[in-house]
Amino acid sequence: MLIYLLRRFGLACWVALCVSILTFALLHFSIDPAIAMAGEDATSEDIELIRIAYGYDRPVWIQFGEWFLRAIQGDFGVSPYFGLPVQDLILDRMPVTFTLGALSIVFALGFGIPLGVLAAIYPNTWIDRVSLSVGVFGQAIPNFWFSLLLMIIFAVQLQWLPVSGSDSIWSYVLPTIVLGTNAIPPIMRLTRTGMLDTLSADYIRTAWAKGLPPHIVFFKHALRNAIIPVVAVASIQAAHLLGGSIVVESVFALHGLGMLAYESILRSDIPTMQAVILIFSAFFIGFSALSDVLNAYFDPRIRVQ
Amino acid sequence: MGMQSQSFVRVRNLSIDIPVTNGILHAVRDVSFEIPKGKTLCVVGESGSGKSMLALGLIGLLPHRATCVSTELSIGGVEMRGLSGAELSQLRGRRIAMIFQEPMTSLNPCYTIGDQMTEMAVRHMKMRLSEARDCARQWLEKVGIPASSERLRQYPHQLSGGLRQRVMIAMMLMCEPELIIADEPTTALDVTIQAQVLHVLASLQRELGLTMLFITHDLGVVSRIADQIAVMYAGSFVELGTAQAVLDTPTHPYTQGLLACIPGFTSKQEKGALGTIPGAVPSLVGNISGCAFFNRCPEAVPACAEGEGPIARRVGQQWVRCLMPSLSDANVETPV
Amino acid sequence: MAEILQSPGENPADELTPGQVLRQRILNHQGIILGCLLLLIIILMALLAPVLAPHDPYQQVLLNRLKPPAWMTGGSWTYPLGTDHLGRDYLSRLMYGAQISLLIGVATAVISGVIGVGLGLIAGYFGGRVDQLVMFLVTVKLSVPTILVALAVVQLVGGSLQVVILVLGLLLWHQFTIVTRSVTLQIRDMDYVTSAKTLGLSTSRILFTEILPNIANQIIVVLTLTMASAIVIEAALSFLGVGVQPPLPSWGIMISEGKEHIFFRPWLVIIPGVALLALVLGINLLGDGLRDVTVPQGRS
Repeated sequence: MLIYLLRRFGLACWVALCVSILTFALLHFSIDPAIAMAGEDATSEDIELIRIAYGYDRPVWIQFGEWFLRAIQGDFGVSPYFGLPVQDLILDRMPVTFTLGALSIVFALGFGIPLGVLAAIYPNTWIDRVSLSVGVFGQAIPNFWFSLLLMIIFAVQLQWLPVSGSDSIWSYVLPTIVLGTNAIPPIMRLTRTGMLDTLSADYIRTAWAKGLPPHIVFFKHALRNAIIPVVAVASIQAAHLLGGSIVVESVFALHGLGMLAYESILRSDIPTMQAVILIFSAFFIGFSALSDVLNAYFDPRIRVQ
Repeated sequence: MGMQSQSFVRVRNLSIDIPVTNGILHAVRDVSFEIPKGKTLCVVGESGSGKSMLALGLIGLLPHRATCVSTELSIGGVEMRGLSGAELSQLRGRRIAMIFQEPMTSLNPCYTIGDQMTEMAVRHMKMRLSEARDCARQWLEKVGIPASSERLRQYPHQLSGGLRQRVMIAMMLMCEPELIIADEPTTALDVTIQAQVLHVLASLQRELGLTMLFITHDLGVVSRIADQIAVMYAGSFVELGTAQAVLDTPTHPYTQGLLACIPGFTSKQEKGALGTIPGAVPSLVGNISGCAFFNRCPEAVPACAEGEGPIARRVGQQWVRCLMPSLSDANVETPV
Repeated sequence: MAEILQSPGENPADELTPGQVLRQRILNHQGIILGCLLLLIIILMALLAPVLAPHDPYQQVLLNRLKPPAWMTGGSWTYPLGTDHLGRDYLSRLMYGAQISLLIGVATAVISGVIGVGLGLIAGYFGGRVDQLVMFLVTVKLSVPTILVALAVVQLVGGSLQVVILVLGLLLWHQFTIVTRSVTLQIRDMDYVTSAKTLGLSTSRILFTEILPNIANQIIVVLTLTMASAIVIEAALSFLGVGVQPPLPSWGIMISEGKEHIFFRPWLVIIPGVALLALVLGINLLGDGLRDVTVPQGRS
């Protein structure tokens, strides 16, 4: 198990390095950072000054090395647009995004797992069909439009909830529903197919033959097995939620990391952009490693050798 | 009639139908039998003859879409027909236990042996967890598993197939059931392990006075443990009688064919000629006209292909479902 | 039990060719039918826009700004879905917008398909080190936050239809690789591929004539699902002002412009959103349905 964890961690580090090289290169080849920083009205002398002042005249790989070494120490430079150290901006915005992410994944699990279980226990009934439709719509609905739709219904028409902002816990309700809905379909489908598979397994027949009551058979014996891949996928979905947070936070004006990313992109604020991309990738990598570890932990066949 | 009142299991005219995409599959067709208390009935047949369905039908574990009808189905004096799901689950594991064919997949991979054994005793015997653990440990030792405390903490994947099947036997016998239904419990095991597991099962059965329904396709196993033998073909019992009668004087051509497939088994068999039965089991979907064994039977006459198929008749010591043109009518009697 | 349930000779499906069975499964699949219907409506909208659109989608009539749809009070059939904040006909913009969404979907899916299938074939066919390298690339790709990078690159390079298509094409290939690789691995050692090898056919020939046709089904499924993602991401980028630029009638832009009016004219947001939902839903239903019917054992 320990060796497995170490190897998984090693892989994650390699992936992180490659992702940062890739995104760094991508941004640098997309635009000359000096021009981006100087703005549209700058003269060519201004641009040249900025290029030298910020070291953009050096080879790209040296710039990357310097940036990366600083970045792993938590120093992402200063944001030209906000005029603040990027790490301060990020720390400031993180709690909002974390709250939103945690609420959303809880929401998604809270709906996805019960729906999937019911659909599997009562296949081809109305419950199965409802869960199927929820899955199809949840997968197809664009989250920025769903945000606006909920806003129109609950904030504008019914006036139950605030339209936007991050002042109170109520501001999180609609963004949580939007982000959570994105994660429901995969969780629900996996629960359903997992339950259907396990319910036809030999050990479930054994459980019935032992004379166990249905709730023990379904929830102790079947769900425990069906849930293993769901836990892993929930972890991956948590990472995807962060990606969705860019759109949703922008729509609801929630001042989290996603909003920060959007603002920095609109202002071509390269240091902030790079930092946010690195942070998001780190979450993706971290959560997918976590997914593998959870998978191993919940499956005794992997955990106990 | 005196004999019948001692029967622990009484089944009359049991049929099991399963709707499938291209019709109705008649898995079990009009089967009747009794098992006296403490005795073993072996049901023998090829795969696909419906014997597993019969076993599942007895304890109410058929697939949901299957229908099971009979005129009588009583186990230990309890009429099983019309019992609710909750009542059935009180009986299963407590009075009727079942052992399955696949030891590798029949235990839940996510729970320890201890978890899976104790939950039986906690449910049926109302034991406390610590009592249940002691009980589980004793039973593991009874089926010949040493270091039982350690085993209780292990997961199924850490055990070999033979050990898992012993665990299964221990678990199913823990609540001291009266009837045990074993569906090919040794088929998936190595030959030497087979013998050990069979020995454990047979000796516990004698010790506890268990009634047993043992399903197998292995006639070698049958000769060792059976008191009575039922030979199943295409969903029906074609021959049913005491072990001695069926093995010594097999009467149905199918039984004769089966025994001829075993080297050196019967006296009738000519030396050196190991028989096979040509052809395959007919489809169980839809009705079969005439005798189901007609197309493979060496003694078939045109009359065999007509009508509803033969009814069961008493021939000597056993019941046989065959027109049997070779037999004289003198020693044939029809059922009451 | 499995043996009992199989009964040779009596299954009516035995008498049909595989193609007929597939056609029957497709016609019996509600999801596919509904998906095709939705998709067909939107494709027709896009193709017939020059013929059917009642107005020029770019023509501004400032006197007729923010007209409601015809069925609401104050609406008229001159503008069946009303007009936007610049007095442009909403129905015409919606129809031309369908062209943009479909173009983005198809073009992106083709680009990412070529990249992804190519990598997957190479990984699956050669295996070993090559396979490890490609799978590592996929892992790296999966760790890149797609929307964030797409937003950043499109913003820096400058938003246009071509840039959006290219960037999304470069960001959405991984699913093709995963599917192609696993299927290629499965069929690489099958008899007909081995015999092609012993016949001395070149590697590229084996890949294209022996393996590619066998994975076509799965690739079509991924193609549809990638189209759907591309369409949603484009709409999101344009909605955030970083994708296709106005005055092009991208549905994302229409929703974004309508957002200013959600308090009193919510239909400006709802109408293009419903169109987008219908398109994505249609493609997803079709893709999921095709996956259902092309797996060897069709699920009931």
